[in-house]
Amino acid sequence: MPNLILLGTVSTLWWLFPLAMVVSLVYNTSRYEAPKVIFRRSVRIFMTIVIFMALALGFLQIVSP
Amino acid sequence: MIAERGNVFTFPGVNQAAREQLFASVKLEITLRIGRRERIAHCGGRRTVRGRDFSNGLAPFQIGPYNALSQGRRNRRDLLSAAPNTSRDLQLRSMSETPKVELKDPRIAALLAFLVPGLGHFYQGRTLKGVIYSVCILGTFFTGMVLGDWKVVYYNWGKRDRIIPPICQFWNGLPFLPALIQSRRVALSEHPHDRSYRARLESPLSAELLGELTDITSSVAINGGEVKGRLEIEPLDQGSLNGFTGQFQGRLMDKYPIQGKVKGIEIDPRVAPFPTRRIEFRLVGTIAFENSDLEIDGKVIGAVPRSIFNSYGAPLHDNKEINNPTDLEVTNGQLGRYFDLGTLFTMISGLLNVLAIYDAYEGPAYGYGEENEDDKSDKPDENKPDEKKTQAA
Repeated sequence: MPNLILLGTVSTLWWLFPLAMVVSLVYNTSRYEAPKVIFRRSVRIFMTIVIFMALALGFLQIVSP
Repeated sequence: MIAERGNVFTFPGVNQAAREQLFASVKLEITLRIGRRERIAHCGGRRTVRGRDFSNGLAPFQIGPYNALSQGRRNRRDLLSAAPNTSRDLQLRSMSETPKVELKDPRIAALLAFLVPGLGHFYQGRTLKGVIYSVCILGTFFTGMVLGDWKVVYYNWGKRDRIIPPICQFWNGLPFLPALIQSRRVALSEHPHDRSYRARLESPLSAELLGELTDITSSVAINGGEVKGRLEIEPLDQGSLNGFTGQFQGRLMDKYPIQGKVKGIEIDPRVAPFPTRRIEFRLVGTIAFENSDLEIDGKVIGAVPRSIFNSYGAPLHDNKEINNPTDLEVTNGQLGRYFDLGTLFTMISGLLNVLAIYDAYEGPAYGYGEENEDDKSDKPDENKPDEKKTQAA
């Protein structure tokens, strides 16, 4: 029987991308003042969040029966 | 190496020679290690760090020409303003070119930032940050509201059924504050959530009604149908349960003029998170049917619009003793996961605004604009292979 985790959550998952973008942008804006630093670090943290979430989802996909 | 006691910094282990070096370096920046955290203290020639030398019988000493710590929290903020740390315990570098952020009055800025995300930064002239905060935080908040059909931000006054979301949402400021007012209005009403009670009309109601006419008693057999028209209700005595007077005038099925007196009104509470207000009453009147006026007596079930002032931020009740299913259960059933998603978005936007408020009050956590925009520290990994290669060689 195919695993339906991804199919069941795909529409909700898309909302995580703008959310992660906003969180990384606001978080770095509160830490730094220089625009270039803010945007560069925001991109990096956004990528980190996305990769981490992807790994977590992959792990759950693997361990789910 | 350095510990903090109140507003006094102790420098255990700093000997006389090092202390003199510090005295000579008042226009420098010093990295303080406080517990496991490290901070850079700005000692730009107009501030003083006081200390006690543990190695010399706790003898007091100070760095800098003025007493910075006595100038209150603002100077302490400057003193402890953080910057990215290096591995050194004591770092001295020139502060002469360090630009500072003009925070104006931090308390006003923080208040503005609380009320409207980003407004405090506009007040401080930090336009880019204001734009980022307002777009991101307000965008997240209202996205959550749309996802949750404008029902996810509320507070149940005096009840403990939903505590954590309002605590987070509170920090959105003005977009959340109406929820406190609405919950108070509901709490003050005698039957806050009971839909079955006969409404207490606090003020006359005059609204367009859209409903269904059923259970008609008439001399001629008339099928019910959609009724649309103007409903005017007025309480005979303010707060009275039964003393209503009112009339309805409209059309049945967009065709037959109908009018009459309304009796036995049941109506939803005034404050609720729904765009319409359900109403039910008996209509006793006449209908113009085939060139004659027929007397009718029927039941109308319909809805009148609810003002945004009575719906925005109004609480969803979760008390089965009043209604089963409850408003919360009904809304959850309709929205499904989007109710939770909307709640999450509005909670996160509130928490993000805490960062914005703190930024408006204290300045950025790291870097006052003096950080190198090239930010070579972003690429520490590029040097590591070289070091390994060097060691290998």
